[in-house]
Amino acid sequence: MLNDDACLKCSLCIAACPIVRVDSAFSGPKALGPEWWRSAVAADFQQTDASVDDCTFCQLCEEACPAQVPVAHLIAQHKDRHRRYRSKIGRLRDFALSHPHWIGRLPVGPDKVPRLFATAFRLSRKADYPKKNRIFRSLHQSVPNREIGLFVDCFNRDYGGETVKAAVWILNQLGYQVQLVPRDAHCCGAAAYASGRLQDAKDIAASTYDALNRTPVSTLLTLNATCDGTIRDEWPRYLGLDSPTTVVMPWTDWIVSHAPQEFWAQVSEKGRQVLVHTTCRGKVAQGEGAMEQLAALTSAIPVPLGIACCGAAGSYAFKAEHEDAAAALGKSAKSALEELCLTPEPESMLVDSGTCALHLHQYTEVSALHPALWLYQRLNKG
Amino acid sequence: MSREWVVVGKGPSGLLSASLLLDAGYNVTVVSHGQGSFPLWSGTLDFYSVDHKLRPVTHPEDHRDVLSRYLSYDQWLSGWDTWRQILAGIGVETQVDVMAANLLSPTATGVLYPRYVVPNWQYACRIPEPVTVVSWHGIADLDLESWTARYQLSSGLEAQARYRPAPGNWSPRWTALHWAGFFDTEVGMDWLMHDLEQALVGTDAQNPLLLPQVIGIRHTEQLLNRLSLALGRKVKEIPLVAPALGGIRIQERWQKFLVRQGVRLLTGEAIRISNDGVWLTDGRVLAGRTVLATGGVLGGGLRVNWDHTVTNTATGETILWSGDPEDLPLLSIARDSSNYDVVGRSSGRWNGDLHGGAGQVLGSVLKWWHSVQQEVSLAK
Repeated sequence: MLNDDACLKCSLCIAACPIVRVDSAFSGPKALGPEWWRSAVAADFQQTDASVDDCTFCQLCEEACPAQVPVAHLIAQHKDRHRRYRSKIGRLRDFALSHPHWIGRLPVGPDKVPRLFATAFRLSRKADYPKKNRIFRSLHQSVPNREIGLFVDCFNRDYGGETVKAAVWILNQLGYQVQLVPRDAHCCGAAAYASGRLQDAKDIAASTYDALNRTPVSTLLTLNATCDGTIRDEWPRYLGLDSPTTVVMPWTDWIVSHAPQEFWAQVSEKGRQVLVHTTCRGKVAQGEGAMEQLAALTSAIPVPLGIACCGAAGSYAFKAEHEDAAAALGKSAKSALEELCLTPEPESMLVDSGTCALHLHQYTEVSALHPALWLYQRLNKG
Repeated sequence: MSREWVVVGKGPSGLLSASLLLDAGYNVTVVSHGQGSFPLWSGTLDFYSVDHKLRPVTHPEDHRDVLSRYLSYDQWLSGWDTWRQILAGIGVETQVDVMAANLLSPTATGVLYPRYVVPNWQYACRIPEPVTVVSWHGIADLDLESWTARYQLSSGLEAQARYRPAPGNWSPRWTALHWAGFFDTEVGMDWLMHDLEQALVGTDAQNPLLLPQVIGIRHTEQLLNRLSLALGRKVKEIPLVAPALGGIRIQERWQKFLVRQGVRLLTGEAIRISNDGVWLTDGRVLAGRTVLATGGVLGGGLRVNWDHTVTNTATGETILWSGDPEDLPLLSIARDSSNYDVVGRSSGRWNGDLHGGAGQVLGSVLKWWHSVQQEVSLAK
């Protein structure tokens, strides 16, 4: 791309990187991205840096860049080239984790994977794994001319059934008919991209793109910040796919801007403090503030957790070699919470990603959930 | 007037504008595409450091003629006070000279340089004093040998130096962020304490102890206090080059503070800006009165493009510069566009790199802010 070679060496990307701060062996985004790319292309340098696999692909480095260098995507290319140095087991595991929508079809959830098996497949023994919680198919309600698409991502399809149900129920309350898309299990390609499997990412995204085109909708709402950014921003820019619909936006942003006063009048959380964590990919894709706005509309007091990345990063925390970095970031979430000195301790934390919610719950012991589910629970008390 | 404001850019000018708006009760959205220039700063705020012949300035007030082109001297002084209060509010305490003179603080190369406001973690003095400096092999940005030589040259006083081996987990890829991340851990802090105890044998306990600016990210003040108590002397940092921890700490605390106060901190690229709002490439429209604070990574309202040209971020014009300091491109500091307000840029002969980058920021932000307040009172 045009800006691949535009690095000014200003180091702003390093300043934004969450891994540099917790992993002393990680070379950092400038060295692994633009600097590696320059040597790899200019000198056809075949050598790779093993620490490239410790990048979470949060993309905060890329967002930081003043010269619009695709720092994270250069790092993904570096990961891709480093692939042949990985062990056979590691490659097999990465292949599997790059297809989360296949893992979801297994009869048992990843939380049921015996720990012995985890060690053999280089999976983390420290991470919490998601429980099976499939979506219900009988949610369709017909309201003519007010149809909206809800993107059912690989995580929510198999482990976030309640979240999907809540999101649909609220849209129905607002008078919209919800079309769950795509019809079958698909993935936006983010998991493969983050693992440095670029061809897999392209294939997986293309198949999802085709699936979305089979059930066209004009507005597509997302429940996960990573899928949101991937579909809207990365598909056209890096994966050669045009936008599947005119509008792709997070469910939360849509509700905040579309739900009328009367809707918010039904729920009052007056004076209650609610933690908010906008995931790293959410910060990159849209920024911070929508979940806070949603909480404020219920009269709750939103309290941003104030960390960059929780350490979950999709399947990152599930890999054995990332146990320490993921735990260090998880613990920094815990200490950020302690520094807030909140009394009484908040009951919930709003998070725009299922894997991050799982990870944050593991380290902070606060119930972490998508704003849709939180709002649904508030609207259906007792 | 509209209660909604959109600030484009999250560098020093953007966050300062956002804080002023927030304090005055407006609803603020900050939108940015890029990190802002904070990590290129050590965190000191320079008012007017050198004159046009590059001689150090002790009292900025002696240059009223230049300064009053932008604001009255009283406006300047109250502006600095406001900025210091804002910093204290986000958790960054600062030091100034009570007589509104410049303090002296050493650069990464050991030169004592005039600085107006200095964060508490950084070493600054009114009158030069002998110092002890400890650094480690592997902090390439601080060459102790030349640092002490230059310090002695610029202060006329001694600098005792101790160069220590790097910790066991060090690698040549380490940046200031790696060091700071290491010292933020218990293991790192224990190593640091132990190493300094050994390093300080035979040094003068009266001297302040200066360390490179890598003493943690989130808890710097606590770490420096712990060291100070344990070692029985004042312990402060020397700024390094980018990525500079001082600026990173300020930006993180400031952003966190603003988000907590209800400011939306959005990510997005603006394609159209008017006084009614900002249109982003992804289709979002942010309604509100707009202030453009996109100084660019060079500061002063300039953007370096991938094709090596430099653009005025407010007008989109390509900037050509002869290279002569007397012939700096003229960018007016506020309202140089009829469509929206503009802050955080160089103006006339004010060279932010020499005279003071923060002075440039404050001058342009205050000029805009005063005009906004004037508008409000006229409307009443």
